[in-house]
Amino acid sequence: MKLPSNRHFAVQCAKNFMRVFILILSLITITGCPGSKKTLQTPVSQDPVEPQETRDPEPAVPEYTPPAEETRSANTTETASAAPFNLQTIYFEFDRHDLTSEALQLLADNARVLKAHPDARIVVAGHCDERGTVEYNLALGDKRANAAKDYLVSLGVSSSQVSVISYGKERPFDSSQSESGWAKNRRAEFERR
Amino acid sequence: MQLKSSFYTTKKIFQRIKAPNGFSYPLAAFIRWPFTFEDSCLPCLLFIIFFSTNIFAQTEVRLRAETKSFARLPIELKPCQLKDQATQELGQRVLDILDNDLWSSSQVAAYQAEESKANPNALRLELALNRPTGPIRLAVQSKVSLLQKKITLEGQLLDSGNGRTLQQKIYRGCQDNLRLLVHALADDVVNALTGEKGLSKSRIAFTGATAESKEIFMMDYDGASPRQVTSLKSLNLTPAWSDDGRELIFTSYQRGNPDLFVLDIIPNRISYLIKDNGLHSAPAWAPDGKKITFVSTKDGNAEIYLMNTFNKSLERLTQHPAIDASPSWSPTGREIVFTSDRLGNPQLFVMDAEGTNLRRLNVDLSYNDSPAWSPRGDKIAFVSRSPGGFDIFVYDLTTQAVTQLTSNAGSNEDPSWSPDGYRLAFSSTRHGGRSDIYTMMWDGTDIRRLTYKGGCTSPAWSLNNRPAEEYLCKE
Repeated sequence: MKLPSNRHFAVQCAKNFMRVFILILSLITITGCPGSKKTLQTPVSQDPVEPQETRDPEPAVPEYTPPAEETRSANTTETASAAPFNLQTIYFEFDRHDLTSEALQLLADNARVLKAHPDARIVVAGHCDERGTVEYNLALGDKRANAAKDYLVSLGVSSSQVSVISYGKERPFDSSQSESGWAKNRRAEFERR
Repeated sequence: MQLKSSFYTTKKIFQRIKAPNGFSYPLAAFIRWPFTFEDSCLPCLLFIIFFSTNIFAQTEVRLRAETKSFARLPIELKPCQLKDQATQELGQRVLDILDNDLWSSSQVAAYQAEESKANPNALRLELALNRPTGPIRLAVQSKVSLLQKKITLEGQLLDSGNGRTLQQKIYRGCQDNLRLLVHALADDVVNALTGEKGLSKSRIAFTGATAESKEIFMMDYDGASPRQVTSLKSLNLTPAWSDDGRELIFTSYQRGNPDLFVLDIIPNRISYLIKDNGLHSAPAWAPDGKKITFVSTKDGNAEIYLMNTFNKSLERLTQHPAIDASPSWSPTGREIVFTSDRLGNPQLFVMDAEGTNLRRLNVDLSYNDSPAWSPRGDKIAFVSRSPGGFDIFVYDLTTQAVTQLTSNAGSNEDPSWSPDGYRLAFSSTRHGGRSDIYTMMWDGTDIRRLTYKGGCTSPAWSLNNRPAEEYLCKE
């Protein structure tokens, strides 16, 4: 019992360090260039590390267009306030529910959008690839959704804004039984309620 | 002295062969073959019948070393006698169902005299008659009567050596329920010969993909009479049977959240068991039918809970920040095996039914899930990740040996034991990459396909019983 909990603690420490580091990094970015939203989003889309961004075609709520007065009434100090309500899907490693560095960046973007729309309510839906059992994947999808929610809350998003649901492996995004298909299915999606 | 050494030899063979294969029959070592069978000796025959499991188990041990299959007790199926409006076709149906049921029991090699003349090299007859100890002459005589859609089926277990009747029983029901009546006869024959309950009346519930979503289906143990039992037009997953075969619990997204629903089969009525925020999944009924375990995230993390079905009180059994899932009860109801990723990947753990006395099963594989405790108590089937996908393994609790049952045939998941503990239902993508339900012997042989529509997963095998209402005629 001692060993795993120590390891768990170490992992938590590392995660916390990463979070703080990225928080500082993003703060520097915000204060450094208070220009348009474009300068904020380009680093993410230019990121060449993962091909996952390119195969993320679906906007979470494509039909939704924010009403003009809501955008105006939103917090004007946030640079992302003018941005459309566009939350990005994050992806996970096989059988993991910890957040990758890419996921942390995308979640930071999502958090900005959510803080700019404090009246918006969203559901984080955790999904898994088809491998493994129905029961285990339901639990794993729940872990993934909660990991995303917890990080959003740690960035200042109100926890009452965010609820979670797990679909396990029941709603694959890509049903091709391949590594690239599975990678697209291990995800957390953000839907506006 | 002679006797002692002979006994020792038998026991040695027994032990040597038992170890890699599994089921243990402790009495087998004490009952020694051969008995001389005499037609006039009825008490002797009855004695044989009474202890037949053990006798044939011993024979089976010898056979298994060579063929890795079961030795079965041969039984001749006499042509069905017809009364009233019963047709030749009806009689043949009775024989076919009976034949399949008895064969599926894993204990009996049923054969029809006509069949054997026509096809003398049939594998089944060979298995039946070429046993090293020679055949015991048993036969089943069936009589069927049909009057105004009402069936009366009479079954006799005969010693065909002297024509004596060993057991006789009458089954009455509706014409539509012919299969069920014959199932009952087959189970009684198996019960008379082995003392076990058989499996013919059991059913398999499963999750099936429909055009819109996933619904719960059920079918007979052999895949006959499949039917859809829910139409909730939402995700409905992982059915679990009650001990009396009257209710199914399953996870449903009908309300937009994974809740637990109960389906009462006879009036076909659905009600909520739990509707609450968070995930509710993997229900499992305790063998006594008075408790249910399931997985819930109501305290923020997937944990296993115990619900008393009488007063709906809840008790949390696991306490760990990792995933705890897939609980399965031991047949005694004293222990629960489950999956946990507390060591970094899914592994099998056992705890007492109160949540205490936790220990890990010593399985030296890295991704193990979906445990199912055998109704015989000595084995736990589970799924492990292998290079080709997932495969089904069996962990022997007495020897701690792990045996792989499936390999090189797609992904094989969701093992569920037959009520007699001889067979396993599972889902497999072995044909065409789409998931269907199959059954196999506990040693991985005799694989049979039950569904062909694809998208079928999570088989749940009921106990060997049916609600009494099912024998009645539907009006």
